[in-house]
Amino acid sequence: MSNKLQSILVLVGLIVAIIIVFLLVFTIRGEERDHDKIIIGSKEFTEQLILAELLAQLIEAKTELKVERKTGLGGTLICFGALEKGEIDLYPEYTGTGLKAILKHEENITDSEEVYELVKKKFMAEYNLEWLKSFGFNNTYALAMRKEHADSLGISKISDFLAHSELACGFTAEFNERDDGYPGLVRHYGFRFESDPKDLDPGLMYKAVKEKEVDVISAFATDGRIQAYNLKVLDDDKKFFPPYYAAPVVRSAILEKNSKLGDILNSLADHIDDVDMSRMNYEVDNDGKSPSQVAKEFLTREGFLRKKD
Amino acid sequence: MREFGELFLERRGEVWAATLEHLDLTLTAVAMAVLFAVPLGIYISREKNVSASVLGIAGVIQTIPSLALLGFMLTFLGIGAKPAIVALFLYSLLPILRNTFTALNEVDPALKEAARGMGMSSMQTLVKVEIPLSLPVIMAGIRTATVITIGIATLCALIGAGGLGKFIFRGIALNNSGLILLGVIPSAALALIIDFVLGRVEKLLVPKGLKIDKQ
Repeated sequence: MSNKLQSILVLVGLIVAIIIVFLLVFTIRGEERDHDKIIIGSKEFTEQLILAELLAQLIEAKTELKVERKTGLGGTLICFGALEKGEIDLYPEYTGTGLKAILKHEENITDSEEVYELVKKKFMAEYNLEWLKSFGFNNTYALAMRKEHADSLGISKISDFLAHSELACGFTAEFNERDDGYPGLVRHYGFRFESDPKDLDPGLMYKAVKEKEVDVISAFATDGRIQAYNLKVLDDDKKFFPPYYAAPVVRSAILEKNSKLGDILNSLADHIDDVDMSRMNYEVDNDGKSPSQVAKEFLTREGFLRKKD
Repeated sequence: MREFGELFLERRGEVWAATLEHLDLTLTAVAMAVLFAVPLGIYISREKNVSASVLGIAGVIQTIPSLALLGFMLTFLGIGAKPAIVALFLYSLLPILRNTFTALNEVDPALKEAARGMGMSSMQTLVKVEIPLSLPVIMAGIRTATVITIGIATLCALIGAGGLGKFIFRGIALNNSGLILLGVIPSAALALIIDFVLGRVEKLLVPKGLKIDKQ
C-alpha cells in the first residue's frame, strides 16, 4: 500500500539529490561567460571557420576588444540556439538558411534583396538579432556530379534528372530534411530518385562522389572541393534554391555596447565574391592551409590589417 | 606517418589541453553517475516492484542518439561543458545501474542467511557482505561506462565543450586525415589507460578473501 508511495519518494529524493550535486559541481566549475569578450561562433565546415576567423581577426586588429572563438558547432540550430541564449555573440549565417531553417518561411523567394530584407526585419522583431551587411558571395545549395559522369549522361541542369531517376544520391542530413532541400526540391521539380538519398556528413560527401560511392551530392556552391575534385554544378533551371548570401548575425545588445563594432564588421561587406570565397575554401581543403592563415592572408591582401584608421 | 608525427609534435600543446578537457568531461560525468546509479541500483535490488521501470527508463535514455540528446540539452543548458556533462552522465547510468542491480541479486542467499544468523542487521549485511561480494561486477559496470563515455565525449565538440572530438570533426570538415588521427589516437589511448587504472582500483577494493578463491 504505502510501499509504492515510499518507493516513489525514495526515487524522487535520489533525483533531487543528484540535481543538487549537479548544481554544486556547476557552481564550483564556474563557467560564467566573460562579458568583456566578444564570442564568435561558427558551424563546422571550412567556409564557416574561415569567415569566423576573418571576423575575429578584424575585431582584434581594429579594436581593443578580446575575442574568444567557439567555432565548429554542430549545425545551424546549435549555432542559432547558442546565439539566442547569448552564449555566443555572433556567427556567420546565410540568408536562405535564416529564411528557411530558422524562420521556417514557406513561400519560395528567389530575389536576394528581398530575402535579405525579410530575414533582417524578422530576426530583429522576433529574436532581437541584427543581420549585418552581406560579405557579397552566394553559397547556395547546388546539386553536383562528377564532371565526366554528368557529361556522359548529358545532364547539365536539375530537370534532366526527370530522365535519370536511377542515380544514387548522398545529401547532408540537413538537406534531406529541410524544406529548401530535398523534400522541397522533389515537389518543385516533380521528380524523385528511385532509392532514397543517403545521409552523408558535409565533409565526407565530396569524397563519396569522387570515389563513385554516390552519383549526386548536395554541394555548397563555394566549396573548394568542387574545383579540386572536378565536379560539375547543375543549373537550377526552375529557380528552386533561395539565395544564400552570407552575413554576420549579431546580438543587438553587443552592437549597442560597442558602438564601433557594427561599422568595423560591415567594412567586409561586398568584399568577398564567389570566386574569392571558393579560392579561400580551396586553399584550406586542398592545400592544407589553416583557416586562420587563409583569413589572415586575405585581410592583409585587401589592406584590412594596416594600422588603425 | 612521418607527416602525422610532425603534426603531433607541432600541436602537442593543443592535444594535451584537449586530452585534459576530455578527461575532465568524462570523469566528472562518470563520477556523478556512480554517485547516483550505485545507490539507486542497491535500492532497486531490494524494491523489486520498481526495478523494472527504473531499468526501463535508463534503457530508453541509452537509445537516444547522442547528438539528439545534446541538441535537446541546448534548450536548457546552452552550449559548452554543462550540457555535455549532463548528457554523458545520462549515458553512463545504464551500465552502472544494471551491473549493480545484477551483482546484488546474484549474491548467494545462503551467505545472506548466514550473516543474519550471526546477528547482523540488514544494513550490516549490505555493507559487510553483499557490497563486498558485488564489487567486481559493480566495478565492471563502472569500467564499461567509462570506456563508452570516452567514446561519446568526442561528440561533445559539436556543442562547444571541447575535448578530443574537436580534432576529429575539424579533420573531417577540413579534409585533413592527420587532424582526425590527432583526436582518435589519444582518445583510444585514454580509454585503455583509464580502463587499466580502474582495473587496479578494482583489485584494491575487492576483499582479500575473494581473491584467494579465484586462484
